[in-house]
This record gives sequence, structure tokens and C-alpha cells, in this order.
Amino acid sequence: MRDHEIDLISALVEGRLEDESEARALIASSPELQTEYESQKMAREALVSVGTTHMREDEKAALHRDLWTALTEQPKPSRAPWYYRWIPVTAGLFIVVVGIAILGNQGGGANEDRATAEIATVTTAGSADAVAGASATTIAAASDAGGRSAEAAPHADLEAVAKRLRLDAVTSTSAGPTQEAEDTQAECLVEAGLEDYYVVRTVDPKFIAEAMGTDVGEVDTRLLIAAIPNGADLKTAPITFVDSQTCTVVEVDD
Amino acid sequence: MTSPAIDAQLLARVAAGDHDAFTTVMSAHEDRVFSVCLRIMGNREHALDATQETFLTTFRKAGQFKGKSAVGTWIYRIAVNTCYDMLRKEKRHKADALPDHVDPADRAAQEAVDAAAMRPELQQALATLPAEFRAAVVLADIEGLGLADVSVILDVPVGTVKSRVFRGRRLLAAELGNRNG
Repeated sequence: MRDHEIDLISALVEGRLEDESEARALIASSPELQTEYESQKMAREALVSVGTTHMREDEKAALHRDLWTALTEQPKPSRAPWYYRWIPVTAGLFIVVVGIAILGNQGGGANEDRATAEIATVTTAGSADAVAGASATTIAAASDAGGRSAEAAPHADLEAVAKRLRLDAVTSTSAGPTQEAEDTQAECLVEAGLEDYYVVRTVDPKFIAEAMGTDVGEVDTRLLIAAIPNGADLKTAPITFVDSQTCTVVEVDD
Repeated sequence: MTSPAIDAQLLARVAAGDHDAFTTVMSAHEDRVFSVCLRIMGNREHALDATQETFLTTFRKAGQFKGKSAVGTWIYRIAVNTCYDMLRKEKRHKADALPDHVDPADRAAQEAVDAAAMRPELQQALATLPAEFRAAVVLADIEGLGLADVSVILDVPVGTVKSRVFRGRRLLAAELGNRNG
């Protein structure tokens, strides 16, 4: 069937022709075209009779509700790792510690006189001898140089704490401090004149109280850093306690 | 129904995120979009899904409207393409067409047929057509759109539209003849 024939039959079926004579003559000329015309007419009439339909009111309401839900739905925030919640707290603590350290620096003159070199009387044993000996000098030098005061701490006896630390060195499987905390503590050790030391762990009042077999309220609230010389064995090396806020040596337990 | 100029302004506001404008555009076109989707999909539930998807796309792509055609034509084009996509994904769309015999006791089904206002055999015959032919006869014969508009909606030349409508009617007549004969 040629395009012209299709156009004529379609136009006739759709009622678009002002003059239908040509189309009707064409259809009458061929049974095939006549059949085609009947088919087209029948389908067209069936389709036109259908007309446009509408949604029901309940369907419209559901459509609108679902649409607005979809359009206003925001992607849920991804779940942050658990430690994210501690970042502001850690940052806040860091700022406080640094602030106190700066204030301590500014008003530290009066304390210098009270700084003691006695803490340099560290004795060493076994394989840690050389290292510990060197660090004893370092502590003394730090005090002489006017570093943070080794002001007498309320920790009258940290021996029990040191014992507990050595015991933990054998039994503990807990993870160490975060890299950030570790860096801060290492800086504190340097400030205290313990460049060649490393942090064993931080010691909080709860730990101290447990080690001493007393109540938390009866021990000092300061956070201490327990450190030993690089390469030394915790089980045998002397443990130096440094005040984490003032970065001063509090006590050396050997 | 709003005028094309007002529709275009509304769509510009929709592109700017104006929900009130979107509601107005939707109210003006939703029944016809649904009608087109129902005839192409052959299933009321799927037609509602297609209508929803059409307006979601309309909202998201409002900024891409160039004003080369009427807003309604542009939206129907989205609707037809949405139906094509859904039909492609629907493996058993023919089986989901309205049933041959509606149980009079099934009021919901009867209402659906009444609302569609189409004889089940006609709906089923329509569902047998290739999607391109079906869309052409739905737009031209059921919705009564002009060949130029159908050409824009289907994104094919007018000559192709004529051919698809003609062949679609022929296939439909044959299918109806088989069912009645």
C-alpha cells in the first residue's frame, strides 16, 4: 500500500476530508483497500468511543500524598563511626590542656624554685640500665632548665599504681591510645624533659584508686602519664609519672 | 486547563522549587496523564505508578523545559517514555491486563472497569499491540491529539506517526475480529 493511499484512507476515517470523492473512489477500486478501510474505521470508532478517563478522588489523594512524600524525602545521613562523637570532647579537652599549659608557662617562675632534682635519682636494673641512666640525667636537666615543676603531688605513693601497670603489661590485651592522644602525650613527655621515653598509658584517678585499694575521692583528680625509657621493658623498667596537664614529672617508681 | 503561556511560567517556578506552582501544573494535567498511562499500561495500578513517576520526573526536570512545545505536550512525552520504561521492566504486562470476565461480586474490579470506560476485549486487544503502535493510537484516537503533537510526544516525524497509527489500527481490528469471531 502506498503512502498516498494510507493518507487518503486515514483522512477519510478521521473525517478530515472536505471532499471525500477521491478517497471513496480509491476504496471502491480495490477489495483490498475496501477491507483496509473497514478495518481502520472499526478500530477508530472503537478507540474514539473510549474517551479520556479520570482518576478517582481516593487515587488522586494517594497520588498527591505519595508524590509529596517522595519529593520531600531527604536522604538519611550516613551513620558516622562511633568515635566521631568523641572528637568534639577530645578537641575540647585538648584546648583546655593546652590553655592550662600556656597559663602554667606564664606563671611558672614561682614554681621553679621549688623544682627538685631529687627525682633524678632513678636507679635502673637489668637491660634498661643504660637507657634509664641516661633518662635520669634528662629529668635532672629538665628541672635545672626550669621545666615544669615536679611539685609534690598528692600521690603520696604511686608504687601500687606502678605494680598494677606492670601486672597489666603481662595480662592486658586492651588497645592503646589513639594516634592523636599518643602524639599529645609524647609532646608532654618532651616538655617534661623525657625525650627518650614513651607512654605506657595514661592513668586516671579511677585506675589509681583501684590500684591503691581506695576510693576515687581520696586520690588526686589529675590525669597522669606513665612513661618508661625507650626500649625498656615495662615489667622491669622504672616508671615515670608525668602530670598530663602541667607536663611535669610527679614521681618515678623503680 | 491553564493556557500554554501560564503553564510555561508555572514550570519556571517549579524549576525554582515552588511547590505551589507544581501543584497547579499537576492539577491541570494529572487526569490526562493518567488516562494516557492507563491506556498504554492497560492496568490501573501500574498507570497510577506511571503517573506518579511522570510527575516526579516533571518536577526534577522542570529546569530542562525549553518552551519548544506546550507544557502539556512535554509532560505527555515524559509520561509515554515512563510507560515505555515500565513496560520494558514488566515481563508479564500482558497477563496483568484487565481480566476477560469480571466477577460482578468483585466491586473494586467492576469499578475499575467502569472508570476505565473501555470494554475489556478492547483493552486486551490494545495490550497486544507493540508499545510504539499502542502509544500512537492512544494519543491520536483516544486522547484526540493532533498528529503534530503526537509527533513531538513520541519524538518521531509526523509521517512515522501516521504509519504507526494506521498499522496500529489494522492490528487492533484484526485482534478484535479474532476475539469476536
